[in-house]
Amino acid sequence: MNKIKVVGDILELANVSKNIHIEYYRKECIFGINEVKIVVTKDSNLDIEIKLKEDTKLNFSISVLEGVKLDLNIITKGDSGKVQYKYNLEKDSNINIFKFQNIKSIKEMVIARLNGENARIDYNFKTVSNKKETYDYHIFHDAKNTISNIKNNGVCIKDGLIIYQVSSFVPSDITGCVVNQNNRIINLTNNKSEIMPNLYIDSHDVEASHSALIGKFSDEEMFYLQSRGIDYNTALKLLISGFLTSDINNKKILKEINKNIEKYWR
Amino acid sequence: MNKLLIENLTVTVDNKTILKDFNLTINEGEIHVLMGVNGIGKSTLTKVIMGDPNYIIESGNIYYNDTLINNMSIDERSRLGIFLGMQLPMEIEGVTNADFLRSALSIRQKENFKLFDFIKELDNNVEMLDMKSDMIHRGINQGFSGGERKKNEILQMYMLKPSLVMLDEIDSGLDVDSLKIVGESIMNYYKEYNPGMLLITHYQRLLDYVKPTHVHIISDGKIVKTGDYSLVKEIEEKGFQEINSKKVTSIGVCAIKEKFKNE
Repeated sequence: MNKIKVVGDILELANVSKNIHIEYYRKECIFGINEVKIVVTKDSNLDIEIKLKEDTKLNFSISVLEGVKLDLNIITKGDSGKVQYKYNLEKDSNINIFKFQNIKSIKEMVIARLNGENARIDYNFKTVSNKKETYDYHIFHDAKNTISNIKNNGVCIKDGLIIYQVSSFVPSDITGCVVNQNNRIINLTNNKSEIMPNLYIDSHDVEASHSALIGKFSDEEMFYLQSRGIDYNTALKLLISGFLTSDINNKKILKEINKNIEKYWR
Repeated sequence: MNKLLIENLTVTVDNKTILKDFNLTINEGEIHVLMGVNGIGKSTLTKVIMGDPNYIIESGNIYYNDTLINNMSIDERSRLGIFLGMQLPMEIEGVTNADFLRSALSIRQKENFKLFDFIKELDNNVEMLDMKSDMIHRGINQGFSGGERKKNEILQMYMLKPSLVMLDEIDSGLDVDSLKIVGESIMNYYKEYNPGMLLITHYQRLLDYVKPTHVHIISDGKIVKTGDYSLVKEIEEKGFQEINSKKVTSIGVCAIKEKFKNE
């Protein structure tokens, strides 16, 4: 398995095949920002594990070349920081991302450019927020018949607060695109989380949807579980586990999510 | 001897009184059927017995095995042996049926819970109910048809082995074959475990399989007539209004539709 590990300013590589080209620029080169450039030339799996140290600044640029499929799994832990991901997808390429993070706080930007026809991004993100986390997504459909499925699930606990701003763009001359956004926050605090789903669509031939939900689990769900003899805390843990693990099929990410569920909802 | 005793129960929902001075006793081994027009309080009764906090007990008491359960939590009532098979079972994303049932049983059985026995029993019951074997690994009722959801309720009943079974319109949404499987499964459960049962239904067809010992007609928040199985036949033939000695004072929307249709 191809693996990249970033601990603070240190980059470690493990079993990275020649199908994945990696360049690393230390923060001394680029205005205090560590930058990792990745180019994927053949179908690959890649695990990225990030451990943020205090106020880490980190940029990832990930390019998937024509006809290539990348399964990307990202786990982020540690302190706080600003992280940016830029995804460039060429014609007929496909990136499938599973991502989980549990950090102190983060400001993150995700820019996906679907540059070639039939390019597709499936983004499945889960987080447990203890402090403020801000996520700003820009999904650009720059070619015909491109697909973006963005799914963000977050649970706020303690001082947690999540802001999802998700903007998808389809210009007028780009047709046949599928643009989906699904954002949900389970807020177990009194803080005010926000979701801003934006669809900037100038084209008439687009299939688009967005859903946004902030709230607690419904009374009906709790009643159903409790009516089978499951106490309130166990029912809550089951619902959170279901919320955070649904659609995740990567074992490492599932293990990390379950570890966090045991930590917070023991 | 297991016994549900409801005394002079008055229940409100959203400041509307649904049950008024309601009385009912269900002993172990008795099968009670509650019938009545829509919106009259049949489901309310099951929800309030189960402890749904949206239903407020204004007066009266509910006892199960001589324990007052008015203020008991929902899960405690369940662990006492009370089970409610719901009219509209919830779909819960991500929580698999297997995890859900394993949690419910491990809480009940504590250190006596054996995973292998659990899996074996679950597989047997899934087969008995003619359910798809992969459903246990899917989210609770996620993507299930109406019939599959009702079978899932019966599956849960078999796994949890309650001593008081309440089934709210368990026959709705079932095709003929599924109705036969569900009806026979309920009756087999009854024969094996001898629970008290409270069934809510609009139709005689479920009662072709599950033979009631008591049939009640509810109207205006209380039981207005009680009889045996012959009362079901009478309802089928004459309808509720003709049978009720008292005038039916509140009729649900569906009941009004039925009335016009009949005319």
